[in-house]
Amino acid sequence: MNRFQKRHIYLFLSLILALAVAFIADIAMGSVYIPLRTTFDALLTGTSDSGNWGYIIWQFRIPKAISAIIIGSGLSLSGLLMQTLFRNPLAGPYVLGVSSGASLGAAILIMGAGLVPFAIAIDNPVTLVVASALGSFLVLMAVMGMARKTKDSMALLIIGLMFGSITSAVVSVLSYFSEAEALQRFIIWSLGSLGHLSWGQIGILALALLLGLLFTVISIKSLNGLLLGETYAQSMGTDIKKARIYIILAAGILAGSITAFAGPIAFVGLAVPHLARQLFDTTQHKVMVPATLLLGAILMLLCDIVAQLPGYEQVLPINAITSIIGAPIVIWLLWKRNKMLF
Amino acid sequence: MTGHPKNIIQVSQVSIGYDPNEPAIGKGIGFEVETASFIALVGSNGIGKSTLLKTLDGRIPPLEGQISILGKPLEDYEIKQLAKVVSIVGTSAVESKNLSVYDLVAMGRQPHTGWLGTLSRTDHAHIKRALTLTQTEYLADRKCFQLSDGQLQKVMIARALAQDTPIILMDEPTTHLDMYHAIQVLKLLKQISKSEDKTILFSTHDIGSAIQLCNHMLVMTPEKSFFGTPCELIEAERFDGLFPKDSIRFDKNTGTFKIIE
Repeated sequence: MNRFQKRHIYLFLSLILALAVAFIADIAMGSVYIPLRTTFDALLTGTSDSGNWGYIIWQFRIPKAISAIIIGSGLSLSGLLMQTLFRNPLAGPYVLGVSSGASLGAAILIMGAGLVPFAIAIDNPVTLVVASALGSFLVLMAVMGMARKTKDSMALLIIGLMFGSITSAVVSVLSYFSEAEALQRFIIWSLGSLGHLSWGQIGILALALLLGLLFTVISIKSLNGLLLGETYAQSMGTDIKKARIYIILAAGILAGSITAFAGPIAFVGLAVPHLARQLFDTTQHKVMVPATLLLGAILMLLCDIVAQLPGYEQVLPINAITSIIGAPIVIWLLWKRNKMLF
Repeated sequence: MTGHPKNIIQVSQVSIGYDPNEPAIGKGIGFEVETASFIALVGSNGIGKSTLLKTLDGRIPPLEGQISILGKPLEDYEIKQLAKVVSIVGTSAVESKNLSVYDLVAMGRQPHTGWLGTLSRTDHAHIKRALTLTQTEYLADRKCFQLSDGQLQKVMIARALAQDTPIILMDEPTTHLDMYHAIQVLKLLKQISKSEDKTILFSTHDIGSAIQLCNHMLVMTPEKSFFGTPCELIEAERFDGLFPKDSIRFDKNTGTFKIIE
């Protein structure tokens, strides 16, 4: 199998290069024109001596680019985990309603807090993460419970859709009763954004990504075994209950914390694992996990470059861009038969 | 592998079922299996063949009775230990259709590899040997969705062989196959059981082939289960009790079922 390994190494090297290029491009481009040279200077020296430009680069663009990398790779990994766990090519944080669960958690915190007198910590990023992660866990557990009753992948997707409806219903009720200010904050959150994260929040996100990755890595053998189904995985020595908990924890932490900070971002989690499978021509998670992380980061950086409309003052909501780019990818995969095979 | 006790599987007075509060699916099942035997499990639909296999591979506990494997009670095995002793071939289709044959067979090595599942030279040797034994080397680079049912079944058998367990349990390995490919798979299994010293226990509806190919059979009827060589079972007229007698009867002389017009 040497042939494959060599191909994989070349692919990984190309992807790392692409990631570097996309990272620099994302920093160089934006509403304010900054010469590429200055961008490099600021990046390499780490100083802001080029005045406003240096300030923009270090306080806005680099945090945003790093957010894009963490969010893109985290969501994609979460999607990969869900696709393997449910053995369903259409699984992903958004489709299965996990993002809806996170939205519900965030909505209750942002808008519900105004309704109860003792709530205080609305703007505390940690509580927002906890609330969103809790929401996504709850939905993931519920979907998991139902997935065990039904093997039908269609049923699973409909369940995800229903969770989405329930969430939006609760969100409507909450928004009806909440203050305009809180409502506005929730709507802006739900459009998704990479740009407003502070270095501290990025730190928390990075920690969540590391934690999710840790749970993924210790489950890597079980993930491969699960490709044959739970019965086979168990017969090959996997403790299914433990594996399931680890994988749900990883997927929930990733999708929950990312959704908390960046809003519900669609399609990245669903599309990227399929792109990785196509590109690397493998199902082995030892290859798929790093491939998904890299591709997710690159795709998110590209989406961010498009969203900030280089040369214009405006910035488009990131959720719109990921949908515009992600949905056709999914349709294309479905169109070419056998490509959406899991 | 050497040093196994003569009777590799011992089952005594076992009742099987999913729920202890409901009546058992099968009762009073008892038999002992010698190393390297090739054994068929027969009985009508719903009689508990799959349930018995699930009980033997440790997925569900027996409601009553004792099962020992290699002289050790089944309940004392940890999941990881059992994976080195018992491998399975199920009825369900492969869920990941994009999996390559080599990767699929390689998964059989999971109980023997480290936490990252990296394959050693020995592991690759086991995988290649499993592919050779099942005559599927030429499929190694294909994806599961490109295989016919017969090819897929052989590949699943190769995966179980790569797991390198003394016991292989199979749930209806010939279900989706035509007569020719079914016999081909059964003959292959019998041959492997002999040459590799594997104890293979499989459920089947193809009683005629099982009678011709197996060392022993377990005949499951609602009241009781009977274990013996095919000849003993025919002599004792155990196959007559398998099905209601309105449509078919067992013909002792030919060892086959005849349709009653």
